Amino acid sequence: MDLLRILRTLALLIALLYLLLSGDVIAQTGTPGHPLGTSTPEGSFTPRTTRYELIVRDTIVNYTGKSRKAFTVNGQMPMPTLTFTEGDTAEIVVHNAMEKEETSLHWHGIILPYELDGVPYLTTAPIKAGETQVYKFPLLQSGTYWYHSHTKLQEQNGMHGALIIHKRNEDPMPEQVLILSEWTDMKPFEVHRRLHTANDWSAIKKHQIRPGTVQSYSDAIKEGAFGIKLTNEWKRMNAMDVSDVYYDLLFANGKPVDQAGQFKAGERVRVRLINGGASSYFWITYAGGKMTVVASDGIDVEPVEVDRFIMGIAETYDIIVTIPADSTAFELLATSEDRVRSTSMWLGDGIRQLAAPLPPLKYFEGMEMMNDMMKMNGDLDDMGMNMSLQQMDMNVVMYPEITGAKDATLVEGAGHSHGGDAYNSNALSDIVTLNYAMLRSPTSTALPPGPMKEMRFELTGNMNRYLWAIDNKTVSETDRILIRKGENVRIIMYNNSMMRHPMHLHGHFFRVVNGQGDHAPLKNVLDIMPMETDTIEFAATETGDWFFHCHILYHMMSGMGRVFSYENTPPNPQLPDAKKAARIFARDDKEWHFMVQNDFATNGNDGEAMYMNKRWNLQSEWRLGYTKEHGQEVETHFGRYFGKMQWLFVNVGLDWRAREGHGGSEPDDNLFGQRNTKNSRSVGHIGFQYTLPMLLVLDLRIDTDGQLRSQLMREDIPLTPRLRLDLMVNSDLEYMGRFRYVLDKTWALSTHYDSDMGLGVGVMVTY
Amino acid sequence: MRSLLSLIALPSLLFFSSCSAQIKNAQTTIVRIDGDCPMCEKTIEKVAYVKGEAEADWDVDAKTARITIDSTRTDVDAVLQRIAHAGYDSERYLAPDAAYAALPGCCQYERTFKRKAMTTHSAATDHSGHDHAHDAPVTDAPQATGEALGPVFDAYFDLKDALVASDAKKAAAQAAELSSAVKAVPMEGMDADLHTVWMQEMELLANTSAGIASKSKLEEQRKAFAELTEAMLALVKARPDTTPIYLDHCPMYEGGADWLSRDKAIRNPFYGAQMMSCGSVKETIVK
Repeated sequence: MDLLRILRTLALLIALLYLLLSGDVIAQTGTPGHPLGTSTPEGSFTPRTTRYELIVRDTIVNYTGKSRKAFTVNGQMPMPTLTFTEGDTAEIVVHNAMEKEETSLHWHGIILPYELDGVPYLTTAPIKAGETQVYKFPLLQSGTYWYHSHTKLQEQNGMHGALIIHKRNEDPMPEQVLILSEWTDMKPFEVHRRLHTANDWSAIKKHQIRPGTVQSYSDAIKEGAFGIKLTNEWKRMNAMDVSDVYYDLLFANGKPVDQAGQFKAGERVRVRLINGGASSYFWITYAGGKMTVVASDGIDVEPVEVDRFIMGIAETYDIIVTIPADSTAFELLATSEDRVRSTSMWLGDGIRQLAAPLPPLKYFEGMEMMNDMMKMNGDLDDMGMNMSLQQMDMNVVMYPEITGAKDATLVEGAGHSHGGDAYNSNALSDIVTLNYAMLRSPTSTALPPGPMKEMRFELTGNMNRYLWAIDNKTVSETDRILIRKGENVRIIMYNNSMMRHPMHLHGHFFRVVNGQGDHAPLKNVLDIMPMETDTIEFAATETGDWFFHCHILYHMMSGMGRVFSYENTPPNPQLPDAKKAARIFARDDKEWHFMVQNDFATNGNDGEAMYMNKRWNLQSEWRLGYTKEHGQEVETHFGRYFGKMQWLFVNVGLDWRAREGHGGSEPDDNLFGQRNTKNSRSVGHIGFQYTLPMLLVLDLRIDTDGQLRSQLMREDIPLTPRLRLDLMVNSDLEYMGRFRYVLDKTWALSTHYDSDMGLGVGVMVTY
Repeated sequence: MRSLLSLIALPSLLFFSSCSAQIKNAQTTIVRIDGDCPMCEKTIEKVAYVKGEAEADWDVDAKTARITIDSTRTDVDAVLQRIAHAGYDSERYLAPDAAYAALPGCCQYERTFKRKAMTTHSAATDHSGHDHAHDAPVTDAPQATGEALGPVFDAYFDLKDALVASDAKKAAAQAAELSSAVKAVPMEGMDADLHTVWMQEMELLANTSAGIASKSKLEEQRKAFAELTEAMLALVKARPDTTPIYLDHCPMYEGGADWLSRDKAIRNPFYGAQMMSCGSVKETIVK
């Protein structure tokens, strides 16, 4: 922190001096998208104002043969690279040229006044359609940063770009910016909605490229892992995956493949890598030898030589690589963590030297590992390994390049040796993988003296309903956390969820307590793996409100975050109506999602619809027969989920049915010896659903006539990647079985047998 | 009934069998791929094959593969990448060292492409500061080898001028000329370095220029022209002339695109009169 503070003070002093002497700042003009006035004469310390004009538009792009909406800035996607020199003043004029949509730009990793931080309704006014916002701030730091929209899901399709600040008087060396991102033909809104309905179409798409991704029972049998799959479902887990979203393409600087041909043999090139993806971690490997990591999240670290490293979402790394030969292009390969796709940057020009591709994941090894770690109550058990800082990577069991080919290790029931170096990638192989413990700051980052405020965060979440939170509370369900200028803040995070999370703090650099003492590295994004405990610390030197959140876009939009708020912050001129702004800011994770499914079958229409948010669900199921004997029934209930795993759903509802009985009278009693009212019912009910092992849903209810009903149901048993089985039986002696064959994200073929309606075949539509 | 069935079945069977062996929109390229033995042949052809999309026929003696692809579904690069990932170097891709090392002993061919790449390395590092030191003997080669490309360059610049003038009709005609100029280039007597580059770029040049010739809309022509320039640039760099050629850059078009010009003044072929002077000289290529 010392370094930053000194730099900041210095830069401010220089800026002030200059202003006093000249009476004005130099503002220059020119074509949009280009740095204007960045050419500082060497050796001079004259602060400049570097001005950019950015014009945000929405446009139609076509990468895969399908026309899709995307956002461009100055006609570019990703947004143009903004280049500055430390000590300059940045003046960025943002025009929202869209017709309806509002937008925002957040300067990721930049130290600036909070009202310019660009989180709409939290720190800064949104930029409404047709409006212009001017951001002007001194640059107190140098390094590799980026900027992106903080509005809704705009970051996913186009609104991300590189922001580079050069050191003053740094020795010039060849360099290359590489911003990584993803492209999906599915609208981000749709991606988000489907994640909340536990729809696994993404896995089926990935399965086409990497067989085994769905982890169906047939896949399990093929791998000799039937028991592992069974245990997995017993512990109430759906198929495990390292990432949730299927992407059609990955981009290097907005292209499927990019090339920088200007480099010559023997040159050392600084590559400024930015993970501008919305939800993908990237593995980085290089065909031309080792990579030397020299900075992380913009801040220098002592050089460390590695074979590969993983980039959390929103992390930046500066590496130095050597170009070994002329007339040859060397592949800098970025592979998504699920290893479904990759993108490359070719360094040099000529015949292309490929990097070794990362072999497919051993999913059932991963599943077995999760089985071992998952307790029956949904908590994770690290088996006393005290995991932290990416050193013990449980995922190594899935990496063939570290733990050997599939057949060598998967011995069902044999278990693995835990503890020791069982998951230490660097001890298990010759491949050197970077982890946070290897990062060391070249200068002291010790905190200034001051009182320490310590807090503990447990990262929680579940895949079934895609609820992501801290201590099982979302942003809108908690108050802002008050901190005081001058104190130090320590956060001890424990990841008790099954996914890794890149946690990002706005406007501050935190030290990652990693065993390097006073030389702990400074970062603004921390990747924390399941079961890890990490400690970060920062000096509270600012004022205002600062967002702290998971940088997986869909986790953030689901509410995984907190707001730190400085005490005694004066009213924010950007948000004159603070209460209203706060209400709108809280809306993001309160979003309601709609889904509906209907089976158009020969024996009737069978379907359900849900309108739900993170805690509540309004659900309706119907069976509409074509004959009077089959009759019609509709059940509707509304209720709330409880617990972080959300296995309990308490609800009230209405149950209505009408049909002509078989032979005119009501059929047999139900299991509880009560008279069955299957033929005519119009009642209210109260009850609960509870998810049992094997993902069986127990539904118990009592209706306003005092009738009891108990029902067991299991939906979506993945027999094969596309063939699914639904089963149901209840105490009214009704039962149902259905096979579904998934054709695409909307259509499926089905055949089902139902105790009331008999056998039918149909076409099923899912939205 | 049976005879009726076979009547229906027979022609449809014939239809399918004649279809299955064929790749639609077939485009065939001959590429040099290193390898040693029939086992190599088996591996190369197996990894190249994707049903209805791509196939390769590798000749162990000539060390060349005839690669046939459905040009609407894939490209030759994708096939060559698969082959390289399996351990085999080609004129465009070098296999990862680990993939080569994993080949069975009898398949560990001599890596001529790799050796060549690494030789240029030592030349460059030995004479650091004299970047083109290793080019010295090449200057003795008869100028004629480079001149063989003269008509290609002329056609390219004529095409560029047609685009600057926003004349779609003329651009199509010039593109057709370029396409035939590419096919007419004599490869005999071309020196090895230029030949390698030419082999790499020839296909793209021929396809892209033919593509432009078939388009009637300026937007489509301009998009393809940006691609064409990449291939031309490689040729210009392989054989710089004493008269400079300028590499110009337009930051606006499609997120940034380049073109080549013999004049220093900026005349933008991507926008024409709309934004005639948009762009800047990125590099001056001169011998």
